[in-house]
Amino acid sequence: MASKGNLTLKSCNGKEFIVEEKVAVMSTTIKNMVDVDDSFAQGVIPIIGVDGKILAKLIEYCKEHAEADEDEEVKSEEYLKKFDEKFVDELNLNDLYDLLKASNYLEITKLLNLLCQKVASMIKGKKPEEIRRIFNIKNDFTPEEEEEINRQNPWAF
Amino acid sequence: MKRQKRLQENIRNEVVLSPEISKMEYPMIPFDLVIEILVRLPVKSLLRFKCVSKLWCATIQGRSFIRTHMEHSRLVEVYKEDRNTFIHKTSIHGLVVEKSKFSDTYHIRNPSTKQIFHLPCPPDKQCDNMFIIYLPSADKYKLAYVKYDEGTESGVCRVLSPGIDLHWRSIDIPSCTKSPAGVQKRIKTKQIDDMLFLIRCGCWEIVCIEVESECITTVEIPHFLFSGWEDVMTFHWNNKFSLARVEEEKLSFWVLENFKERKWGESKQVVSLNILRKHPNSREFMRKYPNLRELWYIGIKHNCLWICADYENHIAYYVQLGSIHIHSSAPGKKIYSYYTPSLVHIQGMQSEGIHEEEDSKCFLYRFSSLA
Repeated sequence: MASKGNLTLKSCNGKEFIVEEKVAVMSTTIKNMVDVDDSFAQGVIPIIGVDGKILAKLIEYCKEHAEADEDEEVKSEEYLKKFDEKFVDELNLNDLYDLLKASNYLEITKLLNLLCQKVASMIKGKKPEEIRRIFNIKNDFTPEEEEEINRQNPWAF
Repeated sequence: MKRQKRLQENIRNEVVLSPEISKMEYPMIPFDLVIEILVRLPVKSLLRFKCVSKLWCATIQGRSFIRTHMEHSRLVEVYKEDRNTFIHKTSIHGLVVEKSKFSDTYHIRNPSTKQIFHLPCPPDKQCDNMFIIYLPSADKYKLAYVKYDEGTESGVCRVLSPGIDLHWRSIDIPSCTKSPAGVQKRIKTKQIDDMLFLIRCGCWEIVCIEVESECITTVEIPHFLFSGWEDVMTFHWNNKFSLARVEEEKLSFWVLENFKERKWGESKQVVSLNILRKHPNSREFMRKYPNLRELWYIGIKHNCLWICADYENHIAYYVQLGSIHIHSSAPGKKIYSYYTPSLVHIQGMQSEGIHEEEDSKCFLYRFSSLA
């Protein structure tokens, strides 16, 4: 059991992480669980659908930001910006997507913003067919319909 | 036999693993997250991604998406360029209203989507202070300006609903009943949301024009608000119309709390401007502009007082925090205006002609991101 002020988070594949409460409650979902039900604060909080690797990443991010929120002197805005850049640059595509889903489910708004921005900058220059592959989308336009849309803004292609 | 067993195992594994495998190759993202990503893309990418699928196309053209996307957009500065053939008049939601330098031709343009709407010629030669106003209930836009002929008592407000009206329509502005006869009137107009407020210097009355319903209300200005008309400015305080004046290093203003009930704020509000001369961020700047009355006070929103000094510099004074920031354009550039890149479209807008763009439009303004 975690000591006072700490929470235990359990990933879907059974890995347990003991984290400070201030770090864990960067997730609005966890904050609501702890606020509503005291037993969560004592016991283990299951994080459904998030595996140990992704949960460790989430905790790494939340730890930096929780500490920065507490003491601006030690971790300046500039430091955080650099940390954020490095954090997203080191992710492979699958981890990026898994983190995106996990931060959405756990409502870690800052991280969700960061990751969405990252994906946006990755895809902004891509062609429609590349987008379909990346997002696993079936093209449901007829060639004529697609041609018509292309014709509206030829300069955008 | 061995081979068959292996095959069976493979099949079994595939059944169990296939969702995982497909996830590895093509990670599936829930559509609400896809939208979160799309709202962060530039307009050009979104126009291209309309042909990804029918769902994407409908989403990108949707009203709520366009709105959310605009909220994520970064302001773009419009610089004044000498060889402009069109002059930027006003902008809202990424739409800019421009006037030809050589004629009375006006148009609404969305520089991000390269779409344009040509407006009917206004009936007046000089129409400074053209406004484009968003009407939230109808999700439409209207144009309006106020025209007063020199030396006359009566004025008109001309309005146009683009795509609906073929000609500008006129709303008569009641002549002033609260002024000594023969006073020379200077007009000041202020737009706040979907309202236009008009003061005629020397006239103790405000004309409030509700642009959507085209209704006019006049509100008396109590004489005790200001001792005279000298240097009285139109101002806004948290989206409410106010009258302001610089008095002894202080900005004093009265807020019109409710124009329909003709109700003014209970007391005069005062912001000390002394700090501008002392603060390290603005000290140098104030040496250049020693007279506080020569600055243009725009308004207060979220506790921040915006002051415009010249085309190059804007002062943001966070009143409660006591902090000051100066927003300056790149050296040698005059900021004429700003706009927010958006996908907003007015019915009847057309693509800007490619030739037209090459010939003239491309050097109209140089846009640079406020990154």
